[in-house]
Amino acid sequence: MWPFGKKSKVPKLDRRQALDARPVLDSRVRIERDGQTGAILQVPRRATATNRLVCRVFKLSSYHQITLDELGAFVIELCDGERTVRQIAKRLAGAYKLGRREAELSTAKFFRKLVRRSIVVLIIEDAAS
Amino acid sequence: MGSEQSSTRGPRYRTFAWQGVQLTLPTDWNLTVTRGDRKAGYLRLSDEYRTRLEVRWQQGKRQGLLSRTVDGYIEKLRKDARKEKVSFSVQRGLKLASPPGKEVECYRWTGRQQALAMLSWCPHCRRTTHLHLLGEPEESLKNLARTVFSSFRDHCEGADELWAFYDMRFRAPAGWPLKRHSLKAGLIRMSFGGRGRSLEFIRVSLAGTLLAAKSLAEWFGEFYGKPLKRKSFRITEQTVKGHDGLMLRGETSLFFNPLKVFGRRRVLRAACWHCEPKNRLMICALDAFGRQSELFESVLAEFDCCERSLTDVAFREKK
Repeated sequence: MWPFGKKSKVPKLDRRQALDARPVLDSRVRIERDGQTGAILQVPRRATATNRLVCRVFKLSSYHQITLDELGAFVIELCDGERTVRQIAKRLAGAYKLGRREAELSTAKFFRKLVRRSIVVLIIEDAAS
Repeated sequence: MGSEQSSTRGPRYRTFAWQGVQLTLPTDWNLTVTRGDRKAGYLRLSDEYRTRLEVRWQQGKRQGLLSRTVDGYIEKLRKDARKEKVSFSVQRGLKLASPPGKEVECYRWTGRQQALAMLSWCPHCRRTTHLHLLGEPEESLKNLARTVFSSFRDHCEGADELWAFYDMRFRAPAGWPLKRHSLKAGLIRMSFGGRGRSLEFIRVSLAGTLLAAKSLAEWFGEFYGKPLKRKSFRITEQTVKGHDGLMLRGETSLFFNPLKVFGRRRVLRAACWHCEPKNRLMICALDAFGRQSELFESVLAEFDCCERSLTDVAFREKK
């Protein structure tokens, strides 16, 4: 249906589903500790023709770096596909003495950014129900 | 933390207060939506999973009988339920609470969800308040509703008004309206006042991370730099509410405003402290003309951060 093809529908999550989702890091993303408390994520560039051309002309790496602060590094290391967003928020709240809502909000916002950049995938159970 | 805890059985409760509305609520209910001001507004509180309480208020002339207002509201809900093809039932005239000096009507409706509601009119503050306690249709809410509704207050009794939410608790002078507020994860900022006066309560989380590479004075200078512009001030390091902290006193600088030699000068008084048990940085600041700046001590005394600050207050009162 190009160029007017329908966009694939992004499933809308309610609060409970979002908090019960299990985030898992994209297998192509690499984590490097930056020697201090933060971390550096090596994220592969999208394999578009423009990106490939720009990388070839300017001799750029096919990965780009994202520097995470202490909290970001703490959260990203808990994304093992086993823990839910709620459990990660709870761990964050415990480690940094945050309120439950404070931790949930900041974790959810962080994951929204990571999902948008295809760094993290959320495994959602009962998405159909 | 400045909260009223119930007995060992059942849920634990604490005081919630916003724009004069004061309620005793389970500790795991948090403020999620806030709209409006003192005259008319809306609040929503949620627990871990769902919305639990909605509060709407409007100040002004009384709009007829309470029962008529309830009739209209129920009719609207019934229409919505019909559209959604959901069964809908109503129970009127419940005796859930009778707050002193108020006219109230309590009722229950059950549709897709269940709600126990109370509509109240206060002749003292001329406020109509509508409270909705929400739950699953089969959930037993009566006891909870009794506790919540009977604790309801819609105006302060003294000269100060209590504000309590997200583990934060302070009192602002009753005539000072809320000017601005910011409820972000990690930063809560409440500004009161009007022309020529301002009172701020600030709470910043992750103090350990923020103070890892700088001192409290350096952080305060960066964070609170804007109000300090064009002011001559003096900062002293001292214990504030049982924690390491700073006290600031400043005035409009005559260098930038030489004409102020003749007029009244605004006085800025602020306290900033690091609450280690809660890993938070707290700021209380009052910027006002001469006599009003004397309020600072009383305002600061009522701004609680943790149990240690409360003991500090108790200790001071004993002395």
